[in-house]
Amino acid sequence: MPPPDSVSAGPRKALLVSPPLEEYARTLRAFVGLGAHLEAKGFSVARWSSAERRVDRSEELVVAELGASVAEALHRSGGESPAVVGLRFGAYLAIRALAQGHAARAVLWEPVTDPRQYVRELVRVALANQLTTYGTVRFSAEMLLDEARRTGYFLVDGYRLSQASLDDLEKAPEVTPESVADSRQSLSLIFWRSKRTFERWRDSGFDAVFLPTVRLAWDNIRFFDSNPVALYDATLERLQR
Amino acid sequence: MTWTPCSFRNRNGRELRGLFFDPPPERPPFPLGVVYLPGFVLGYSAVHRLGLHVLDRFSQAGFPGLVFDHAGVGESEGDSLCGAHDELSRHVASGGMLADTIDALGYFGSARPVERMLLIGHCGGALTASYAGAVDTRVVGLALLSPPALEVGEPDAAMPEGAVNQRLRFYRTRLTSGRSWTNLMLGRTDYRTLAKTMLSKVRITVGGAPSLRLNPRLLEAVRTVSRRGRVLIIAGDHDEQIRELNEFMRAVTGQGVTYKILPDTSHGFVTDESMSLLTAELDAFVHAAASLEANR
Repeated sequence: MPPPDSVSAGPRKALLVSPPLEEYARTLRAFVGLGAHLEAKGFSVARWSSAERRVDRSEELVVAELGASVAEALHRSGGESPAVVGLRFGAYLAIRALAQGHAARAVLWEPVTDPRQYVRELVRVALANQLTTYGTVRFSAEMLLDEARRTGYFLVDGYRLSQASLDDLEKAPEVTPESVADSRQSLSLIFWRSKRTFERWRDSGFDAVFLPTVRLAWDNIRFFDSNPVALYDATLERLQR
Repeated sequence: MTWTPCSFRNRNGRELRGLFFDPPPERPPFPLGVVYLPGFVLGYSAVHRLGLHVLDRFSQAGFPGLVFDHAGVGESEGDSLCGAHDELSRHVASGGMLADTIDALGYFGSARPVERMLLIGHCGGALTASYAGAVDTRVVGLALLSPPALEVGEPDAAMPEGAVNQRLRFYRTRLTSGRSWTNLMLGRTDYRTLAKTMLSKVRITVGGAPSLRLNPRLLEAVRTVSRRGRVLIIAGDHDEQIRELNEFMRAVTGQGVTYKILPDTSHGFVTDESMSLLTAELDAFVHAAASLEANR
């Protein structure tokens, strides 16, 4: 994949962290649009993705390595501590960057907070893929995971996610309101799908908002909103605090 | 690494961004370029970087390649394309991505030593590839992956039978899912598709499968290019429009058109087996086209 857009001049800096796998493609335009929206308001914007420079179907999601790459991108943007915006698994990386002091502020979109649960979601996607490929589910979740251990990768949506990634995600820590309580003042969360998760964070005293009108192609390919202005505005307002 | 970011302005002055895939320096390039056109409006990394994988492979074999995002898509400038899937499908099927594609072919021919071109398109990209091939005589081959063969009708048009059955299978698996029922109750289900699926199933059961309205522009484009070069059409046996594509192929028969149905394969070629079969077919197609060009 090509490198993200270059950093442009501006006093406030923001790094936009995309999710991996097919969610990357389905949300890319929303990130491109957010970048333009923030730049128009004076931000200097860079984008980060795990797919950078990849032209094959392989994917590596080892949290420590990705976290180091995000931290490097944040430091490369230079100057004062920048803000970070992340979606889904990108939001998991963003909150780590905040907690480790690499970013001054984080806005999370529909964050993955439990990597083990994220793995379960990927397995569900792989099971659903069988319906469109074979017309039935031929291989159970256990069989798919056994096959991944044998071949070294787990096939999801056509991507080869390494077994090392699965192992790492299984043991990566869950992010809870309690575990990041120290970051409460510099963390905002925006949801449009996960109402219960939104309520949990809001009730724990975090700045959390629910925007039911947002629909990215990740949510449902039947309606493709690649320019979700309400989401951009809510993000901008939180970055400017 | 063989790719290089590139950009050019389309006829409306919008900067379109893409990637060149160049053969390694030790490999003299063929004067035959390959352009990949992704499906729908998600940009060139969808689906599972299929186009990047294909172009990288062919560039290693000596064929220069180009992939790019149309205006309003992915990394390129332009107003973002938004809306319901049917609306955007109609936009693509009616040639909404054609002008940028023609501009891209012109740019490719001027920026790389390419005299003739092969276009590989997936889904909606296959439609655009065929339309472009029909009007640009430098195009000597089309590989159309999972092309939607039907004319995209009004929103109330019946769904293809394969699509209905595929969605019903999916809904059946969700019957025991508490989360799915919760989504249904809370209004987070795609009711329109659900209703359309049910209604289409009733119609098919009562009155038989609806008569097919094949995309006449696709038909004409395939015929046009097949007179000039080769056309390869590839689909999976579980593509939701496979029945309609079979019907399309009955209407398009002629020399220069090859039709391959891959076993245990979906619309998106998401398994390793599907990708191996697809890659083998594309390899044979591109190398045969190169031989033809060399003897021309």
